[in-house]
Amino acid sequence: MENLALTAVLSMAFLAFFFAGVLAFAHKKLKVEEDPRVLEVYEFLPHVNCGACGHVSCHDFAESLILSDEDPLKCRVLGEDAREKILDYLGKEDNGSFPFLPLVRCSAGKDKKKPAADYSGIRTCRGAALVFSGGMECEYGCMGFGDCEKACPFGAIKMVDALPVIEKEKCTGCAKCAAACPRGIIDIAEKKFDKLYYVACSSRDGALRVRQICGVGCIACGICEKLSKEGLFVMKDALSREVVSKQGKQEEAANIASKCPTKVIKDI
Amino acid sequence: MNVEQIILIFVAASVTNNFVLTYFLGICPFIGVSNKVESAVGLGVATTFVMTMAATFTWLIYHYILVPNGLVFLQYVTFIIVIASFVQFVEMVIRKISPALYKALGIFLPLITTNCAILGLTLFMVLRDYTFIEAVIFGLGAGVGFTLALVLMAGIREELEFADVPDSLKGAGITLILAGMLALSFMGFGGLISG
Repeated sequence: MENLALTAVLSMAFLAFFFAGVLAFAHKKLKVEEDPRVLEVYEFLPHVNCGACGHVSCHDFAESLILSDEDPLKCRVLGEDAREKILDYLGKEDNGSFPFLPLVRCSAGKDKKKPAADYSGIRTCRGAALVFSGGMECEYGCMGFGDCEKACPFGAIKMVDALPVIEKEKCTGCAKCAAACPRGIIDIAEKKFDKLYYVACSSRDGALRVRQICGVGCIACGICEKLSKEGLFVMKDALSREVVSKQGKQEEAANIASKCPTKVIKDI
Repeated sequence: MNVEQIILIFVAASVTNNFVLTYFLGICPFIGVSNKVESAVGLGVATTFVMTMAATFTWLIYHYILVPNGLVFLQYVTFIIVIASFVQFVEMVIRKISPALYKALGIFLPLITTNCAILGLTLFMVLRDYTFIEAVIFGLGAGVGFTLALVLMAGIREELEFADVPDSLKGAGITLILAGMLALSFMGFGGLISG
């Protein structure tokens, strides 16, 4: 028995060293010269391979930074520190960018989602969206199965009362949640000011129907548009939308938000 | 050394008992890399190389190291070492020769290691008691068969780009249905060789 163990160990060791030797030799012979700058820039990147920059991996992004003059600010996940280091390394200027945040365009909590039928299929938003209106009367609202929560690589989304709640500290604005939502409720916006006031509803239904099936949606009354002289809010397709670039008027925006009859204008 | 026997083994491994379409081994790269004929050929050639070399070396190791020392129980570990080493080697070669192909294959190149068709090949080889030449031919045939299936599928999928596929079947759905149809048509070769 001891003999068998010994031969086993010896022969496996022999094989392992043999193949390791062949590979080591091949590695030397077939070595591909890589631009050392790529590796150095890669070190600054977050290494999470989220894909928000449009490249396959962080390494791929580093390569295009060096070789094809890609914009380093396309990486939304970069921290302050890393961003400065990369800009410094590449000799580029920071032309001022702001964090991106997801806006969840639905306010209907669990008891506000009026059921149209009993949905008993796969418990994902994607699955539910394929069957009529996912068991909900509202064809536009959040179905609350949390596909966005699962899609978030940073754990920044928690489903509370069947609605996604974003933890701003963890969110990097990578937009994976927006892509995961089958109804496109989540928009990604640049947050330039202290608070960003937005309309938390996607329903294009008329006022009567919104009141009947939800009660916390945009009823397209147009009060926000009338009150905002500078065009802070604009009505389109029976729905109000904020104009992000005009949110400098923070007080006015807050005032208008408080006047909304269904309180659907929220801030983040 | 019977020439007829060898031709038979080659045809059996590549067509009638095609690894992908008859044994359903190696489905993952079959679905994953069959988007474009070009990358399908690349992966096919790489896999063929690994399969042939794996068959050659595992046969030698099995018959000259494992069997004489009574270490047959180590065959799985040994085979995996051989396969993994060759995949590493192929990866280096492809990266050196064709960076474009290296990029196109992406994760599926190192994943040749976990391609069950290759481990299946080495285990079949042991099970069927092939001689050395037979084993090498078997490996080559299996690789050619894998390439054939991959390229056929890629050709069909390129045409599929222009087809009007129902929404619910787009992507993986229609691909699996096609794979099934391809497998059915390969069953037609079943009577070609008996045994």
